[in-house]
Amino acid sequence: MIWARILLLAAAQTIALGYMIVDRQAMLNASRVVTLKVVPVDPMDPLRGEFVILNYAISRLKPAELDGEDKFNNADTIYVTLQNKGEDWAAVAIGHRPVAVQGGVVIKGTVNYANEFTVDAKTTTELNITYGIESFFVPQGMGRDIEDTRQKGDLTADIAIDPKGRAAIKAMRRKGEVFYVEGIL
Amino acid sequence: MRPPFYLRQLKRDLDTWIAKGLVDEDNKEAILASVGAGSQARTLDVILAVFGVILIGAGAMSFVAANWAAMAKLERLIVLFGSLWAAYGIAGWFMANNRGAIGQAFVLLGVILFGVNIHFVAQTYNIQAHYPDGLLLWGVGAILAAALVPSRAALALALGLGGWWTWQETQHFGAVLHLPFLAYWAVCTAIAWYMNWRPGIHLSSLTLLGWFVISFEAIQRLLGWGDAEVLTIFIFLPLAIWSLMQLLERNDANGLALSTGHYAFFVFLIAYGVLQLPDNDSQSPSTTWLGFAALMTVVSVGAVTAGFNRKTFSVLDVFGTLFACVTTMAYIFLVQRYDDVLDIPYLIFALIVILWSVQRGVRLQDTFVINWSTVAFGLWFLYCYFKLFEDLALVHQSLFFTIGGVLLILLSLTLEFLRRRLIAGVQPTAKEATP
Repeated sequence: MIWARILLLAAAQTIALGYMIVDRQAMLNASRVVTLKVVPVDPMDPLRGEFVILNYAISRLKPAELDGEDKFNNADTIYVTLQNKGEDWAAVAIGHRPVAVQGGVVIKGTVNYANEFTVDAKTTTELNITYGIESFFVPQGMGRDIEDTRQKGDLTADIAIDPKGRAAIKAMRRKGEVFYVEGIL
Repeated sequence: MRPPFYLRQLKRDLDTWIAKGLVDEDNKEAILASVGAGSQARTLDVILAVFGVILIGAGAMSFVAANWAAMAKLERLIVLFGSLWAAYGIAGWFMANNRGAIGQAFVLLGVILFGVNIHFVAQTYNIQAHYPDGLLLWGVGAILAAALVPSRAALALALGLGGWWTWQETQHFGAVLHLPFLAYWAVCTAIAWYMNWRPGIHLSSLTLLGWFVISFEAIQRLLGWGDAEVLTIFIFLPLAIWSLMQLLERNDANGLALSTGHYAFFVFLIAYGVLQLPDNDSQSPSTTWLGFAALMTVVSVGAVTAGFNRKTFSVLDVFGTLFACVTTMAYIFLVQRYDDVLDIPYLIFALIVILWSVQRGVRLQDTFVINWSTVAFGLWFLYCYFKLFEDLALVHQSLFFTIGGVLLILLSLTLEFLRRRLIAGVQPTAKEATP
């Protein structure tokens, strides 16, 4: 009897862990892929042990410059519609629900904070947004190289986005050349 | 699930009865087993085994962490899943061979490894989803272990993880009232109840209390009340729970009502003492707050009055409860206009409530209430001292510290003397219960 219970427990926890891996692979395999430019971190963020911080052009957005909604609060879920602008993709619309745009791909994020600042008597709002693709666990020996590439502005990331807008890093590129591809094994 | 003080008393009584020939010595273990009193040695077994597996777990994690970067993904997965299954396999072997205590320790190791594996899988595959979900998943795994094996240690871990999870959700994500925690907590509490595990019930009570405290800002946003108004929830609600629990205690064989009553009264005492500390809001008390305060007052005073008729409460308890409710409501109404002059009257109110609490502890021979009332009095005294010197800003700092030091020493000696006198008066049948 105790063996049956222990087996059930171990199996259930293994399935939960396995689901995490399978779900991630399903996202990477069946999703649309967009290439996002990784912007330098200012001030430069040193390598934090095992991962590097990745900031994207779409991490900071001004609602006034985009289609869609203007008012967002901290911790709001936000849907950002991306459109291909040549070598990489850029935000064109935002909303609390997906905003459909011809040829667009919608990525789901969370508003970290909405920052209001005034310049020449004109108030502007800037949203700081996270998408769950902001840190990258570094393969052995590549940390410093990735840091340098990021600071020079030569780093781009291929981001897989599933139909729900969830995002995952599929590959990393240095000057357009793929140097890391995410895989199951 | 008998209270510890009951079990200690029963052991002493059994020895007396055996000496007098009233009870056969052969029946002693059977009687103790029937009320759930285990042997001390067995508890020590479990503690040592738990320490052992924690050390093994730490060693294994350090080894994995040191070699992690050098491993390929397949090797990592073999290590992660292999260690999980090995821990549960060893647990099963020990349990099947009647070494339940050590088996339990390996179950705990398995649950810890499950959490570590969630972290390492997320790291390996760059999964950065809503991160409290990882804690929730770990907690659910712990609950599963607690229910299936069953495992008390896993349940304790599950409650701790639940507290951590709701803290992250509340503090890191917009101070929303995190209601899903209540469902999680209810499942844990139901398992603790089913296991007949008294410390588990205590732990679940503390976790729920912690949830209320970290939800303060969220409750405030939800209700639109001021700081002081929200704080009165921690006065009115525990007072109502305490008065209702005192009614139930008579028929409560396992001490749950006594413990719940203790927790509630403890929270009430603290909240009543600190009511004057938060910044006072300029707005008038809201209608919803008024309704809440009135309802809770009716429940508390009603329960105490019913208890008075059944001889559970004294007339002082009726007046004490009414006094606490009325002064709390009056404070909220008056504080916006008379903030500056309310300090001294409120300190006197707090002293009256503390003295009522001491009187109740002595009357019921309840050392828990006496001890905490003594602590409350000490804190009240120190607050008065700080308050006095805050107003007398010209007094030199050295005088402040010198007098403060002397008073502190005298206070500690006096309070200890007072506490011992009070407990000595109730010792023969004291309720030595902790909540």
